[in-house]
Amino acid sequence: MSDNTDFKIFIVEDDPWYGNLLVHHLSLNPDYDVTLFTTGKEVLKALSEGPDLLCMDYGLPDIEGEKLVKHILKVDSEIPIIVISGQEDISVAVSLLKSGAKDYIVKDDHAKDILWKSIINIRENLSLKKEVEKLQDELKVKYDFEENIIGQSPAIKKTFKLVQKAIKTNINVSLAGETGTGKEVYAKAIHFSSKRRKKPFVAVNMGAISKDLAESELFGHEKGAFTGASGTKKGKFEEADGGTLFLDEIAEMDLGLQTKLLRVLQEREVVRVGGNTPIPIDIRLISATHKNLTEEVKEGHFREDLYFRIIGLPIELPPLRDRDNDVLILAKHFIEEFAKENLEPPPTLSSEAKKKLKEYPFPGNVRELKATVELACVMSENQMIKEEDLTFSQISSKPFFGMSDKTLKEYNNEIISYFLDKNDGNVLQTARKLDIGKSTIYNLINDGEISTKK
Amino acid sequence: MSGTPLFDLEPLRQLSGGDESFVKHMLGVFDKLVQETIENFQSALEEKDWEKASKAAHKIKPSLDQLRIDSLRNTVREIEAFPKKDVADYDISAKINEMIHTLNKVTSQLKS
Repeated sequence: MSDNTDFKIFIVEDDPWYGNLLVHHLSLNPDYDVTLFTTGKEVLKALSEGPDLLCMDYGLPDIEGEKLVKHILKVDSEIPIIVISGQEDISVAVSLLKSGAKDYIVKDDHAKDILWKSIINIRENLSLKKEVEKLQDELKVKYDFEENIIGQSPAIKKTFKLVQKAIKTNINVSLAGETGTGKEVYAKAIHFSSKRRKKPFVAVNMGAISKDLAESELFGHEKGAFTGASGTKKGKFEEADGGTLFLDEIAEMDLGLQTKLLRVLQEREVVRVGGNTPIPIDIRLISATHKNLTEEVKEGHFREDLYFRIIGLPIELPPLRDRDNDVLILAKHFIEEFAKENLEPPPTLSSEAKKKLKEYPFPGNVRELKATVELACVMSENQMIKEEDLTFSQISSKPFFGMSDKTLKEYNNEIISYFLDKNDGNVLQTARKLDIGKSTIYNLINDGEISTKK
Repeated sequence: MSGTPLFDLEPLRQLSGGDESFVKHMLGVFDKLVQETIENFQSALEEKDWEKASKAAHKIKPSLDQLRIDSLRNTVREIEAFPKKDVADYDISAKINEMIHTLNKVTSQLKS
């Protein structure tokens, strides 16, 4: 497309009468830069000038209309072509539109007005297309793999290599990892770095949609398919056509729906609920779960054939506690991001705060770290995050006994403390649960080796 | 001008947006097109090449419609469609001669 502000229109018309009329008519718009060609060969030579739109006669002396459309689109598949012809045969129009022409106008008294409107419509579409491309470029930057997946640890670098392979190919990808490890961030990064980035990225959380609605949500429905289906609705598969469908928490999908999903993936076509017509689909599937899918298969909760269909390239996202120094790299990143959003200088982490971050196991992973760091930014003073500014979530303080080097005695005490808290300080219940004597617990409390919050 | 005008310049004038030089330019284009069409029709008659006549008719058709030369509206379409017809239900030579005659009359009216 031409870079200047003029909208460059090429007219190909061997009839000098009609050609001159069109040039005059279209030149009434000062934005249009109109050039007339009288043969197909002439216009093919001039395509390198980058016209924004081409308006051609069907019956040229040197090249047949449909052939010329195909030739032009071979050189530049994006250029909109309007065919104007004295042929009133509908089959000619259909054939040309199938070949890629954007419009077909019959040479009659209304032709010039129809052409005028057609060009306006095409310009509007081009402008929308440009806008979409601009937004897609912005999205690419926003979800760019190298910008968004941060870390230097061997565990995370191992995933980088796999993501690079996923980007280059069309293989299905299955992401596994604890909650908060960034499964959706990875899915978006793969999509927006792949060849499919200009097509939709559609995310569906299978854990968040009810069993009754899941089928219609994924595959769409026809009008009247069920009570409340007042109109036809496209499903997520159709929405994602040409792009990527991200099925999060896929292990939550019920077995009946798994069978239907398997069929769609095998046949590469979808049939809407209440419909009969198969609709071809072209998607890359990225699935994710925090559960162990092989275990789910063994326990009969997940179909084995579907497992093999979706597993594709498996990427295991490491928990934050296994990512060495990444916790500090990420913390710095989140601090800078928070400061930027709030137009403030970024605070620094004190060495005690760094130590505290490194020792904490972050069961909520990167998501928890981000929330912790943002709160610490708010609580900090004098641009310094101190140890006391870091508050860890009580919700996620679930038992985890492997985060640092401790003696067996220390681990024992930690386990007893945890269950004591869980049982509201009830020593008897805790002793029963852990199959130890209640006096053991009382002795530890009396010796000050464990304490209870209750 | 001799006799009732066979054409109407009003649609062309409307299209010109008041630009009389454009009207003159287009009438010059039409004159050349008519000469070219008559030549093609004559050689088509000599060679009995109805495909050639059809192409010439197809090319001049929009200008005839634009200038409201209604007396040729059907004739030009009949000549254009003739090669595609399975059964010849009209005398194409007579139609071509009729067109040549009318076109000559139109150009002479335009020049007067």
